[in-house]
Amino acid sequence: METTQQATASAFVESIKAQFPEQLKQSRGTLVGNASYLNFPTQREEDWKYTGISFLQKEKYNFSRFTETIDISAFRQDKNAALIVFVNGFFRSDLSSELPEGLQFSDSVNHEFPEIGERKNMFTGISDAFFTGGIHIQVKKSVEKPVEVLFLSAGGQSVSVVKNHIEISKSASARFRFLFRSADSSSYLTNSITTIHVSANAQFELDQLQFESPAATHYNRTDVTQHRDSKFSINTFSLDGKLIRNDLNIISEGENTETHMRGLYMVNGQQHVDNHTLMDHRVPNCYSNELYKGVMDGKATGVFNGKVFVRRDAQKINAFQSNANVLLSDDARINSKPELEIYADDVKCSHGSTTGQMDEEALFYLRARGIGEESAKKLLIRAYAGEVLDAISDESFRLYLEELIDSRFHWNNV
Amino acid sequence: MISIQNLHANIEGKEILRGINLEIKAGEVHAIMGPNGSGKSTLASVLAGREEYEVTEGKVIFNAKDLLELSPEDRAREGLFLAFQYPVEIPGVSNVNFLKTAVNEIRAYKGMQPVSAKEFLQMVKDRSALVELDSKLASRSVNEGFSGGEKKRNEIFQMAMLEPKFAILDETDSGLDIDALRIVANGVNKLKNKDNATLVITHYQRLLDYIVPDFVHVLYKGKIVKTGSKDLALELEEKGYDWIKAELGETV
Ligand SMILES: Nc1ncnc2c1ncn2[C@@H]1O[C@H](COP(=O)(O)OP(=O)(O)OP(=O)(O)O)[C@@H](O)[C@H]1O
Ligand SMILES: [Mg+2]
Repeated sequence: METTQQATASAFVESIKAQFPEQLKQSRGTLVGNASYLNFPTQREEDWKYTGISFLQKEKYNFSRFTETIDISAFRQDKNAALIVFVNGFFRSDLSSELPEGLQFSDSVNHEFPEIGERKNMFTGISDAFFTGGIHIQVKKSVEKPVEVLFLSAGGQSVSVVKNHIEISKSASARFRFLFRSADSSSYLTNSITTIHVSANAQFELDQLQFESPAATHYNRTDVTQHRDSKFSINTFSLDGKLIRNDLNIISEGENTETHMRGLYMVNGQQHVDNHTLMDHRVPNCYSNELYKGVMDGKATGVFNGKVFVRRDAQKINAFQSNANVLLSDDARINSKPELEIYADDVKCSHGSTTGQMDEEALFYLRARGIGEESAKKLLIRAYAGEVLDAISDESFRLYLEELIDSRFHWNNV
Repeated sequence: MISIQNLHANIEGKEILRGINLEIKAGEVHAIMGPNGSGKSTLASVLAGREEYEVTEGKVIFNAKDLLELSPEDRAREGLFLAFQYPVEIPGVSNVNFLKTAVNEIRAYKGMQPVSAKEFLQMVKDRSALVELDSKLASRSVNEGFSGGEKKRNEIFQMAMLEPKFAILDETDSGLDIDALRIVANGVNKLKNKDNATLVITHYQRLLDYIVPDFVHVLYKGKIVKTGSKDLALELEEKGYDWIKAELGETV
């Protein structure tokens, strides 16, 4: 068994390797060769127990710089925001805008990255060897306006392998918005790895919109390190895609940090969304708060696996975690596993997970006031999602997401 | 206005309504009284369209339409309103927002234009004043964290906003303090006209001092067993239900 598993595993990676642009191979050195040894994740592994990706083995992806003209205006949220565009994982300076003062940007393809050591998997291995671009940014001074980064897939059967690195300098603050979008409804793979350093006294908010094609697979990993007195918030909205897997790892390395992790996933049909999060409190006097909410319809399936780790000397930690799910159909399923691992004794931590149906009493109440069933459901879903949406500091982005959520469920016409 | 004919309804296989007959005409106020568990709220729920109840027999004609064929929202759009005995809390849905949606969906049903923002605000202002509902409550999430009495006031505020033809008030008086009872009852009276009708479900005669009924019915074990004038309520207040049970030949 093991050997056949190995064989298929490399077949998938080999097919990607075979397509990888020749001129980039040089710069990756031994990483390209190492990729052949990557294991294909199977559901026998704890980390992938409820997320099956074996279908990928039948897919043939290619690296393609999409050269046809694209009107990207439909995919951005804020026409005034600074914009960086990648199409199929390649940087497009022609589509990107000027960046505000205080940001030092370059295409990450020009940088070398250390191999991802901890919690490596096939996707991190693929990114180590085959990334074709990404943002490499240092925020040197506070930037008022949000920065939009559009990761667009186009043309079908593309693989976008991006590696991003964001560093927020001491006492600086910024807000970024990652928009993962598709120009068509084709099948493709997005493999996005982001490392973030939030320096002492710095503040950073990252909003991620995962609105991929319904046939797309999306792997997303975000590794964050927070230093003393810093604040970090991440809001992840998973609205479309065949399969979405998010691995979020946050390390609090300095005292007095504040961390907010929020997620909203709304899926239907046969879609699958998996959020694995890890909050690692290594030092005392910190605060973290996590809230993930899901709405699942049709035969959609989901996984929430949230771990909060409080190290032995990390006293006076306040860590809260909650996952709530609404199943709109009998066939939708969620596997929720909140975990606290606490080795310090003077901490305040809580976690909880709830799964329920749409509140029938509330639905009837609204209908009894003359509101149609679909629009009553919409009101209730919006209210439910509101708790996560409310966390977005930018009102216009919030409204934009509400519209997307409505269109996502074809609730526009109600 | 509404004609209920031989209405039978079950929940979970248990027959709760066992042949209700009731005619209510425009301009009338009817009161239903009856012991706990006799089926008063069930009747209200069946009329409003709650789907857990299975109607096994009978029919209800409302404005020349077969009421039982209509969805709950269409019943409301046709002008039926239920002030719930236990209004639900709906976190995250603002009272005024949902009412605006409701008003506009009802208008659309009647082929009318949506209400303008200005007009709507004025309505909220006037109608909340009618039941002296704190304007802060109007903009909060539906019933969330409202006191028992505030929830009841909110029901009548909604009624005032939606201007139903036929309103069922299910124990709207319970949980109201003496002043609130008077205020809410006066609100209901102000909404009364010759073209609408009200069905008041209550345990207490006191409410009927304010909202004076044309008819009082006693519902017992899923049937209307007695109908009288407002004096019947006084008699029930004084003597309880035993004499009615005795009249029915039950030993008490
Ligand atoms: N969802 C339900 N499941 C099972 N039984 C129910 C349900 N709803 C109502 N019943 C039963 O139906 C009967 C009538 O209830 P209903 O609420 O209509 O009484 P009521 O006359 O309004 O009483 P009260 O004066 O206490 O409000 C009761 O015996 C109650 O237990
Ligand atoms: Mg009742």
